[in-house]
Parts: sequence; structure tokens; C-alpha cells
Amino acid sequence: MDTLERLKKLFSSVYDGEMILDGIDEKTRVSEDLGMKSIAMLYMAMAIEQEFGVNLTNEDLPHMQTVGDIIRLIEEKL
Amino acid sequence: MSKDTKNTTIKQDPAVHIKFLPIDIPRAAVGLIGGIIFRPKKIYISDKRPSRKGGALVIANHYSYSDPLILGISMNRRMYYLAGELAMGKGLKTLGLKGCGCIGIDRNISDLDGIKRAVNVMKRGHYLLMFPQGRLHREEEMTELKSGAILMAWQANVPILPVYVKKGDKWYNRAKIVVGEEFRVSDYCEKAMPSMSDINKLTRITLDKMKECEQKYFEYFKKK
Repeated sequence: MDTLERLKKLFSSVYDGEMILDGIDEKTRVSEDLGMKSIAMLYMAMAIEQEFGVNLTNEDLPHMQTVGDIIRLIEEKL
Repeated sequence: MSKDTKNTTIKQDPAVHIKFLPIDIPRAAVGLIGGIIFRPKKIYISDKRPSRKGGALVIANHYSYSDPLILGISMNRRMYYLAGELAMGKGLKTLGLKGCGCIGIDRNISDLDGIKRAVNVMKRGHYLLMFPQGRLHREEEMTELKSGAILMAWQANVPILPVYVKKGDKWYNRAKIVVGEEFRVSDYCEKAMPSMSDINKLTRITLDKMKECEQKYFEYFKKK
């Protein structure tokens, strides 16, 4: 499974299957399109760390604007 | 991803160790003075007492600035405290508060690093005190909690221990503490990873448990 698919699965877990995953691609904006605000963003960062075994910091969070940004960040840190 | 894998990387601290002396000696001194001033009286909501070992997230109402001190001297465990960056201050104040076990967290950003420091303290087997109402709330009724508490307890895989604390109305009155029953995120959510709606539900459950402690306070102390 590629990073995008794993990430979509993670979004689905965090949002209890309520999120429509079909339209999500690398250009999808995390805050505006997926509606992830502070606490959800924090939770997503923790979930990404667990799922992918990467270490994220405060400096990484502002760079996680789109799904593509998250994928690049994960792949850089892997 | 398994619930059991979360605690495997961090070793628990021993209850007594020379490395804690720089923290424990000033704490004992402050605790002695605080104990004389506040003379805290602690009761339990049920016969099921909190575990004597392992970390836990202690969540309390925030009625006065002396709450951390009262709880620190009453819970019979080495306690760490989650504090806003503003409360942590600068320079010597920051150093002093860190020495007393305060962990600063910046509420203006999603402070992932601060949360990780707090989670690690609990994983190492310590109590972490936080006030999930966010700021000082002098009004009697608790209406809302921040859901970050649930996230941290889940991430650290430790129980949540709700308590209600209130210092005496007059300087000569004893401080009162009601200790609730500890519970785990996994008691209410069987999934390895709770969803955001699970977290919101658990936040409401936590608020209810804090209210039970508050109710016990009024039943036990105010009827006397």
C-alpha cells in the first residue's frame, strides 16, 4: 500500500469512516478541505507517528498544509 | 498498530532514585509548609483506590492558584504539572517551575513537542496533573473540558484520575480533595485508535466523572 492509501486509511480511522476518501489526493488541503483544526491536527500528527514510525516536531506541523505535504514529510523522515 | 506496543520504548523510573533528589528535597520542603497552611483533607469517591504504581493523568478542576500545590502534597506520589507557557514565565521563574516538575505547553500552537514531553513523563510511571478546563474557573459548575487530556492519556496508555479540589473559603479552613475512580480510554473505546468522535465522547464522560467528584464534595463536606 502506498503512503497516500495508508494516509487515507488513517483519516478514515480518525474520522470513524465519516470522511469521504475518494476525492482525497495530494492537493487536498488538510485544514480547509478536510476540516482538521488544532486538536484534530495534533491527533493526526500522533497517529502518523504511530502508523509510519516517524518522529514529528512542532517545526513540521506548519508544513503539513496539504496531503501531498504530509506524504513528502513522511517519506523524508522514513 | 497495537495498544500494547505503546509502552515498550520508555522504561519506568524507579520510585526512589538519587537523580530525583534535586526535585524531591525542595518539594518536600514546600510540601511541609503547604501541608501546614492548607491541611488538605482527602476523601475517595469509592473503595476502588488509584493504583500505587505506574503513571496516570490526574485531571482536576481549577479553582485557585494553590490547586497544584494542594494536589502535589496530597496525592502521595511524585507529581508533574502541565502549565501554559504564560504561567511558565521567563528566566529564573521558568527554571524554578521546571525544577518543581512543571512542563510548559504552548496553547497558542498545536504544541506536539510539549505534549510528547508530558506523555513521556506518564510513560515513565509518574503522575501528571493537568487542568482540562484550560484556565482558572472560579464558578462552581464545570461545563467544558479540553479534549487534549484524552489524547495524552491514550498516547501514554495510562489511566485518567479525576479529582475535585477546593481550598478553604477562609485562611484557617482546610483544603478539601475528592479523588474519583481512575479509568482508561480502553474502558470506553475498544479500538486501538479512537476516532475524533470517540475522543469527544470520552471528553464528555471525563466531565461527568469530574462532576461526580464535585457532587461528592458537596455531599460530604458541605452537609457537615
